Amino acid sequence: MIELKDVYFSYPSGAVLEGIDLTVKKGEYVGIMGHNGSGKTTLARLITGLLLPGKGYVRVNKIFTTDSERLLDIRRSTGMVFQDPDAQAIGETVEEDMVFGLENLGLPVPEIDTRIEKYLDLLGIRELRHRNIRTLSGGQKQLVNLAAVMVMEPECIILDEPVSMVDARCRKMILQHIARLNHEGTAIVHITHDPEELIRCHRLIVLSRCRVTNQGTPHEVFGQLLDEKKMDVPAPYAISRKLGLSPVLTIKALLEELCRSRSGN
Amino acid sequence: MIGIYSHGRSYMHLLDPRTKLALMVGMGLLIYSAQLPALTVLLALVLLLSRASGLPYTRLVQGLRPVLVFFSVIFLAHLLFTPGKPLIEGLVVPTVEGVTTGSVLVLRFILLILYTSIMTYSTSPSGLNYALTFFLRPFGTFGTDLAFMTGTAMTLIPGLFREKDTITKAQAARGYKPRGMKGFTALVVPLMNRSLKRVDELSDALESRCFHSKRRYYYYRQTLANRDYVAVGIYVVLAGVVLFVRFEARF
Amino acid sequence: MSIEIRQLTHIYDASTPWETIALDRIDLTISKGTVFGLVGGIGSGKSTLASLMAGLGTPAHGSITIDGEPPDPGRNVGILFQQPEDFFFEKTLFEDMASGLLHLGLTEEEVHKRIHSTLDLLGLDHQILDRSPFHLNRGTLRLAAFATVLTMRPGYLILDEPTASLDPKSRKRLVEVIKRISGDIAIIYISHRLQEVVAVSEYLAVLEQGKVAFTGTVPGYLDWATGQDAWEYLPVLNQVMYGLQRLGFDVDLNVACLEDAVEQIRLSLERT
Repeated sequence: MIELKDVYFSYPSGAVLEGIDLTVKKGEYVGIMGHNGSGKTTLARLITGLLLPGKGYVRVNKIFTTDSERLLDIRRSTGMVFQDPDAQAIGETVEEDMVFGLENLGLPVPEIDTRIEKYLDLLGIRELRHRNIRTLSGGQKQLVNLAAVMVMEPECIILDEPVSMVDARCRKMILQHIARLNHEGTAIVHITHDPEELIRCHRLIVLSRCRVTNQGTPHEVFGQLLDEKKMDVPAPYAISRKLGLSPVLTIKALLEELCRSRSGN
Repeated sequence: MIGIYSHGRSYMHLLDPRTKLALMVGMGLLIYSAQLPALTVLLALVLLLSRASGLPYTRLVQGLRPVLVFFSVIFLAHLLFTPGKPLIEGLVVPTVEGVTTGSVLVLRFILLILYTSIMTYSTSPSGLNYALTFFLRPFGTFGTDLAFMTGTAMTLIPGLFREKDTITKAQAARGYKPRGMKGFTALVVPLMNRSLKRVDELSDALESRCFHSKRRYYYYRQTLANRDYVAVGIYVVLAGVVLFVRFEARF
Repeated sequence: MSIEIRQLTHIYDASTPWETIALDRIDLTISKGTVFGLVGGIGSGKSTLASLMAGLGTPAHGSITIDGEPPDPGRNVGILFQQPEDFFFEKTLFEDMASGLLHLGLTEEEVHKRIHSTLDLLGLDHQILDRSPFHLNRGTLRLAAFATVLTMRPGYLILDEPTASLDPKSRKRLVEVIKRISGDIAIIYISHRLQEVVAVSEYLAVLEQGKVAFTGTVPGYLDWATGQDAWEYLPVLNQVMYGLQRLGFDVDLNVACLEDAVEQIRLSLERT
């Protein structure tokens, strides 16, 4: 549903993206990994038409992001969660914040009510409904930001470093919500510098110095990265490879693998 | 404090946002036209309304703190430079008339802030936006845009105060004392810098949530209830009393 | 020689519906000659604690003393705020670095000497002093902001998220400098990334919703987190080691790096 073709983008200070080709299919979970300054955030903003490419094109559901008449259709089908939990709330209370997007979609009031109920429950934040967002913790704020985007039920959600500012417990929770969301059919573009966040994605893309350097399944890409020693890979993957076991991504799988290898001895 | 909303079910919270906005404007006119005796009545009323909305007095008064210096200057200027019967002998003399005009002016400002505080405390920004768009409807899209911009600007205010606080601290840690022109640039340049960033982030958030100029506020729409008519009735009586007192005071 | 924090409580918007308890009866002792890590997510109160330790603002209750005296920014304690590059405002970087020092009453000669020696210490090019802070890249500016605080020669230096949104090269450089100077200056390293804090500090405290959840040495922390059965609080490597321990593998929980972990697991596998 998302298609980038030979995209170039530069700021006055220099080029940030050069010759990017990328597609995201319906329901796919794509991870984009890169260091700070590798152009990840720019890429995210190009997809939703917040920025326009200098060369090449970006299409969402066959609509070019340069087509300003239909930009709203693009925004309807793509939601976006940003890094800073403090910088995204529009309403004062949680409910208001969720209502804002739904009013933009022009949904009837009963539909708004059912959707808000549904997503508050789904994310386990029902008791926060009437709280002033400013009084929430950082992790709770990010959950609310996710809720405000999810409630609009876009086909694809773009997450730009969604958990890099929250504490360990919230991080785990938000990552689980993201995985479930994808399982239920929403396409995800998850952008981060942390490989551990991307172990659940279907396809992994590495951005480095304005270009896509690696692309493939997490297993393929982490394998290449480990050989090239360019970037971090998830610890369980590195350990399993270095011990000569069959490569795994999660801690759980690594422990199972090690138990098997112990009883094999 | 102006601009901070808290969810609640008080009488003030339940009033239709349109009623509250209209009455707020009405109160502004009354405050503008009232003299000292009537102003004390309005002051008593604001304390009553604060109770009725569940806003604690301490918080109500806290909202005045940032403008305290401003008020003092106004009061002093009137005290010293209004011609009239001198209170004491000297080169610059405070006058009896100065005390009256000074306190009337300051009291008016204070009342305006207090009434606005109660309204924003008991009305969600979405409700307020709905009311604004309702009243600005005759002006077409210009009206709705204006309403939205006002509402959004309101949400940025508390953040701006927080930023100012952080920057003052950060500069103090580097040895700057917030004095003179240098102190001013040391505050304003980073504040501009950060505010622009904040506005950028907010506009990204708005756009990715499908904001468009034809959007309407309807979720928080209410139908006028008995309590709204009661509130308007009370206002009419009050306005009569205030104007009567003013009339009395003049002659 | 230490920072003593006793029963420190700080509340924002007290007695209002927006009342938030940022810090709740904090007790901490931070000794000189170490890197002390402070870990917590956004909103855990770590930035509030940082400002108060730096003598910026008055706590609602409790006390902070630095070597027995109240904190005095620029004298006994320095702080590098989050995103410090935002606070530059002069025409040249030199003016920006110097005017704070001049305010403190140093002679121009002394100011020059301090700025140049600090740039040497950080390995920064002296030419940047004549450039406008608005034309330098983020990594350089971050180091320059760091240098500005160092020129004040604080005995204690608080770094609030010093590596946030830096590219890996600048990040590495900053961490190297921090390690290098930590012999002379007590550093309080604040971050939400546990992995980063564990890598640079000897002692650490974990803040959670304004309370100290843990304080002690780094190995002590690993024990504590496993005792709490709180996997997600451990760096991933230690999570693996912890999992193995529970499965009866003979491995040490406290591993420094990936190679170390692999070696331990290999040995443990060979023994069985």
